[in-house]
Amino acid sequence: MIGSLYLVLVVAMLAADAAYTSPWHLWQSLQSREIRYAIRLSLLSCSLTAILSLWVAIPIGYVMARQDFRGKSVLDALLDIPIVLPPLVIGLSLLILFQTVPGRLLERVVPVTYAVPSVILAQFMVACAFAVRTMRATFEQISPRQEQVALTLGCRRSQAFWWVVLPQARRGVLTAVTLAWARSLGEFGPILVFSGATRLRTEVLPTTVFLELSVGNIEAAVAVSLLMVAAAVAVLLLIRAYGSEPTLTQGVRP
Amino acid sequence: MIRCTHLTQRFRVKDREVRALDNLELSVAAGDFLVVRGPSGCGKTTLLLTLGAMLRPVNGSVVVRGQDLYALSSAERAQFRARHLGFVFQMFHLVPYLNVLENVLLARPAPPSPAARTRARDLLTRLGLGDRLEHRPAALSAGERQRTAVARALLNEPELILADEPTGNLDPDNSHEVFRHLQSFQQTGGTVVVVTHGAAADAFATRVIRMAAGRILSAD
Repeated sequence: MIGSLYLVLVVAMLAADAAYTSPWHLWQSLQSREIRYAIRLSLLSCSLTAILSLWVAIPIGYVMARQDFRGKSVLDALLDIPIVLPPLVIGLSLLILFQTVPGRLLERVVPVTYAVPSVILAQFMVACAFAVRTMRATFEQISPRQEQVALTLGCRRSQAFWWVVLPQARRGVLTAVTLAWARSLGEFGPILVFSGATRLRTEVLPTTVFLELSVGNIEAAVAVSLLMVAAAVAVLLLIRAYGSEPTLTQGVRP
Repeated sequence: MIRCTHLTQRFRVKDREVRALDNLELSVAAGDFLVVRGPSGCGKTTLLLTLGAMLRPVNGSVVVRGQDLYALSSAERAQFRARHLGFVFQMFHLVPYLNVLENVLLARPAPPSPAARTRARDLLTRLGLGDRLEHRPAALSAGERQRTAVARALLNEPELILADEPTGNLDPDNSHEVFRHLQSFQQTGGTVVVVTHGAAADAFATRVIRMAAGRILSAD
């Protein structure tokens, strides 16, 4: 009963958004140069963040699931910090970090703060923590025994990982990448502080919603919100459909 | 064949340290059929994985055929396992979408040579699976699956077979059959180490030792 009430609330919220705006407003929003830039930057930064997060989350998740070592509980807590920290604090901390000597030196080579790389870094800081959690849980559910069997058949540890463990972790990989992508799409707090809200420069879709709201253009803000909902739902459906295909049908035959 | 000295393995379970192997000393002569018997959690599987070059000990050394296994690099250990060791596990671990012959040939780099195919067929015929070559594991009985796993372990003509509860999922007749094949490997010059909690393997053993809490208690 409580569950169905929650679902009703979710659907009602989206329906209210859709009722507030019109296809004409949606079309007008898509014609705006700023909003088109924000869509492009959002898609680019979210995709890069998702790939980076996966690249980091797979080795960390594997080590955390398989290895026992001194200080593991401290590392575990450190990995969760981006999840529990308020988003604005993450943005502020990144801003301060890039004011330190090493940060300034890096800025000389690659401008980060208030530029596109800062958007990706801000999204990555939060999204990666979720990807790590997902990959760790995935590897914990995979029995190490099949990996050991691969070792007994002449595989090196790295080969056993690539050929045996990773194919079994395929669904977890898809979940992690989806989660990282969706999380990045909605990220706002750290981007506002660390990247600013400069149009045609560091504006992503949540920034557009904020900027349109702040000038009282609620129709445009709602239209962009609906675009974000549509993009998120499309990616979720696409990846779920792909992820539900049989996994153990492709293999290297002897 | 095998000499272990001061073998120690420790794991952290939550905040507690567990000694899976506690300063263990063990020698196995070539041609032995050694049964290591002990209750669940006494360190039998850890011992087998350590002997099989798959789990580096915290302390101590494992010398097999005169080679200190953990002085080798990871790639060299993989080669050593492929050339000299065969493994049999309780759960068979056959690949479900490959047939019996293909599962056995997994022990060889792909594509396997015609000679490897012939040897795999001969082995499977000797193990009573000559008419099952094209069948997938799902179509086999538990005993047939384990015999397929034994054939896979024997394909590379290993000198040592390490078996972890190889009959844990089998009825007494099939258990007897699997141990008979391991014994025949031993009688033709191979060495076998079986870790198990039951007594079914004792009749085939040249030596039985008991393990508890990571230590060897006694030799029968």
